[in-house]
Amino acid sequence: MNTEEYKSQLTALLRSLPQKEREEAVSFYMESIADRIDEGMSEEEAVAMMASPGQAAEAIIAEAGEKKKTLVSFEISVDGTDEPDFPENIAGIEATEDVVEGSEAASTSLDGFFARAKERRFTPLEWVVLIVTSPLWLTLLVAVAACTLALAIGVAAIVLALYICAWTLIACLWIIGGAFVVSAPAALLFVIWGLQTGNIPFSLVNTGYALLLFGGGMWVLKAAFAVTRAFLRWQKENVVVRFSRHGSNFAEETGPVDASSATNRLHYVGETSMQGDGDALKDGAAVEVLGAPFFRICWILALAGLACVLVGFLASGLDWRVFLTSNFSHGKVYLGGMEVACPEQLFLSPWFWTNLASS
Amino acid sequence: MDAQLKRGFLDACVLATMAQGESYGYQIIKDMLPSLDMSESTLYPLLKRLESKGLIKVRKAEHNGRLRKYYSLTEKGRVNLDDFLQSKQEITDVLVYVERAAGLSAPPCPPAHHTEQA
Repeated sequence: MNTEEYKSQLTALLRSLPQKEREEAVSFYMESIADRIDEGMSEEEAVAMMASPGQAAEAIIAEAGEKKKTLVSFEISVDGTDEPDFPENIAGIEATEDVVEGSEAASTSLDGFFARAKERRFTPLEWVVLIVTSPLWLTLLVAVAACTLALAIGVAAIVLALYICAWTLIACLWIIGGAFVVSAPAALLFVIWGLQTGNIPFSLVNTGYALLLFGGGMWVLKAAFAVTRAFLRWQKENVVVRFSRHGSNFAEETGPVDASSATNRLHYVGETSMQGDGDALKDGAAVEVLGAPFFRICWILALAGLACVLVGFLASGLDWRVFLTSNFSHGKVYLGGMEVACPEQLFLSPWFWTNLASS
Repeated sequence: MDAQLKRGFLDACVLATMAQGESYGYQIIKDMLPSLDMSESTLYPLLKRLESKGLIKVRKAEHNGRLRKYYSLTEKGRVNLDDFLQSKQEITDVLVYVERAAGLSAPPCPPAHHTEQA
């Protein structure tokens, strides 16, 4: 065996030691070989004078208190070497005994604990305490908390988005209903223009428009109100209660409302055809609003408006242009497909205001 | 010499090799009593232990183009060596007792008295 072989085998056997400690030990043995060579020995003779790598590693590791590490790593160490019974010998070597005796003597003191810590020899209780009090748990706890927080934020963002969407749809209902109702007076202006120009079918159709817009718009507003009320109730019952620690008190408060809701629900089913609107139409208050005389009038107005449109269309001789309101083409103004001779005479029309300003 | 018995003397012997000046690993082995059968495998852990106890100190110096470690006694190591030498009488008493008890020699006359050295 030459120096390099000796060194590589010793290094391999000491790999369980920290690098600095391993290098220091190997350099000690290399130094002795070099000193022997300096004395005139051949390299092989110098190496032969040394203890085998196994014996050397045995002594070094025992000194470092690394017996356990060695027992584990020895089986996968250098193959094909003529090492002695390395693991078995460890228990009997002098340095190991020294360490064990020293540890036992000091086992009841803090110094003893640190001595055993250096050797990684703990009692089961000490292992349990070390594991339980390990700072690793804090790191894991922070990681779990961070993941949980991220998940919670993600879920909260989705819920918030859905919540905003729901309110946006409800807002759309309110806007559509409001727009219908506000548009009704504008349709009445076209009725006046039809009368001014003698276009009676046009006036009838626009009267129908006005009635339909007002009646229909009020129904849309009613539906918006019902949906809003139902959503608020659902929110109160399913969101507020679940996140509240006072669920029983809330149940007492809402009990009578739920009872009336059930009664009204039965009332509603027998009274209206709008059964597919879900929670909003199962709401007792919505049924109450639905049955109000005002909305019955609106319902009648809408039907009347539809009738006006049909009559106007018939009166026009089934001329589809009667459904057109007004258009401007080649310098001429048309109402319901008929040319208007004097547009400046149309009450409150753009031409009316232009003429008024010029005069 | 028995390993257990030898072990008790090794520290003192190694310290003693450095009493006249610093030395290095192979030189310490050569200077050691042949009966102690000192090798690197015995010396290295021993030097590490003495160093950790502060009984010896180490320095590195270049020799023939390589670094060599030189070991020397510290003040604490010298005191430790002196303490060991003060045990000489006790060790002698033990040896005499064993010899006498084993019937290998006549009892000393007059009996030896242990006297404290200054």
